[in-house]
Amino acid sequence: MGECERIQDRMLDYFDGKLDADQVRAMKRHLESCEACRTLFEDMEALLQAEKTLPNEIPADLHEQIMGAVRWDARLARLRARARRRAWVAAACACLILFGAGTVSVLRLGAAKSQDNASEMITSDSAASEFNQSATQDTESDSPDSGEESNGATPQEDGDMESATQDDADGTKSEMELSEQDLDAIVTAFEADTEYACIVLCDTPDLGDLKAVCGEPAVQVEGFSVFVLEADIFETLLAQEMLLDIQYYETDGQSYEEGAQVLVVLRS
Amino acid sequence: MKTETFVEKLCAGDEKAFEKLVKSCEKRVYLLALRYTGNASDAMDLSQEVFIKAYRGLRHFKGESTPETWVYRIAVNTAVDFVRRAARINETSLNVCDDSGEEKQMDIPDHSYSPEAAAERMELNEALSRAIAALPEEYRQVLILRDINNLPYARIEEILRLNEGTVKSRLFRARVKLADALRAGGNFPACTSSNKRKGGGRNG
Repeated sequence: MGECERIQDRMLDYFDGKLDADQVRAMKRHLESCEACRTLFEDMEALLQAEKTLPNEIPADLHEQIMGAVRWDARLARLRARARRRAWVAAACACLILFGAGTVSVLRLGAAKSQDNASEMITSDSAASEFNQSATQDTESDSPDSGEESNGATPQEDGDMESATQDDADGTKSEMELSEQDLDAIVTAFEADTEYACIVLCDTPDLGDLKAVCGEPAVQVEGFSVFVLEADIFETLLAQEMLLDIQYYETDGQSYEEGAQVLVVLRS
Repeated sequence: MKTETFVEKLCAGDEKAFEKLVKSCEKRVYLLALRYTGNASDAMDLSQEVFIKAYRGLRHFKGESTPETWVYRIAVNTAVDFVRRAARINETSLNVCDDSGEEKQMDIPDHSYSPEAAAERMELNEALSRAIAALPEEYRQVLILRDINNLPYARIEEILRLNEGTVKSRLFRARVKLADALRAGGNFPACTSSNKRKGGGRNG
């Protein structure tokens, strides 16, 4: 069978046009007497022919479509970077103010306007969070922006955070927050097997504008309108200040990264 | 333009240089995507994804291969992921169907990636597309790069990081597998002119 093996090795070269006349003759001689190799040869020849007839139309606008997509993505990346920079600045300020405070908020970092520190603090073992709840409280009085800034960067830190139990220390359910039941109701309103990186409670300055970008809310739960957004779009909306007064809630689902989905819950 | 300067510009994220690179590979990337996905609209999506990734990753491009090779590598990996993701979606919807007790036969929508992806083509083209989609991944890669993209072996070796022997043996086996699958389908080798067959009346 050494002969057949050698001939078969040659077949690729033959179809590549790399055999010299002698080699071609030797091969054809073998094929005349060897049915197995001949079948193989004819099959391969027919295959290459068939492959040539496969549809291979290149769309006329291929280049425009590709460059368009690349430019759009680059633009989103710039918006994301801007949102991150602003958040970083806010975080840096927060750290300066409260260095060494020791407690870290895992779940709820927000610009909730009328809550005191105690009810918002949740102690956790999270190692790398740069955010401190009271820091956010300090900055919240400045402007709606601050809430957006400090929270804009939160998703970057998600990797280190464990989900802590939500604990409203003085038991008040403010309309500014989502209770455990609200969160459950929201999550179960969607497909059981879909995963979300986080749930976000926020306001919008212009619902009409928001709907123009995101469409109608996916669902209404407990009086909240809930949108499902890709992380990209979410961050773009943040950067354009179409979402304000953000409060984040961790889920066990996807981690926050490209392509992740976010549930955006509107207060009104 | 000297290749070195071009590469340097690329690494710096120069948009004009990147556009040049796109122009030089887009057709092949598209054809590769077309063979992987089986339809034009997903091939376009996939092609866009490849170049988006390439642009994002420009700063990681060290120039250890030619820019085109680097893009083709991204293309192959992206295509593999794309098809795998789609296959998972297909599986899921199949399960849902089963669970709800519906007797629905798996209806193949236009954008299905199962080997049965339909198209309005000649029977042989359909069979061939199906067979390519059914190839084991390592054979399919080589086959598409060689027979569809017509890349030289050296380039394929670079893209897939394989040596010549491996590339050639995989290509050979891929073609044999394809031919077998088509032959089993019964309409092959229909396009071989019968006068090429010699003696010994063999039945197809």
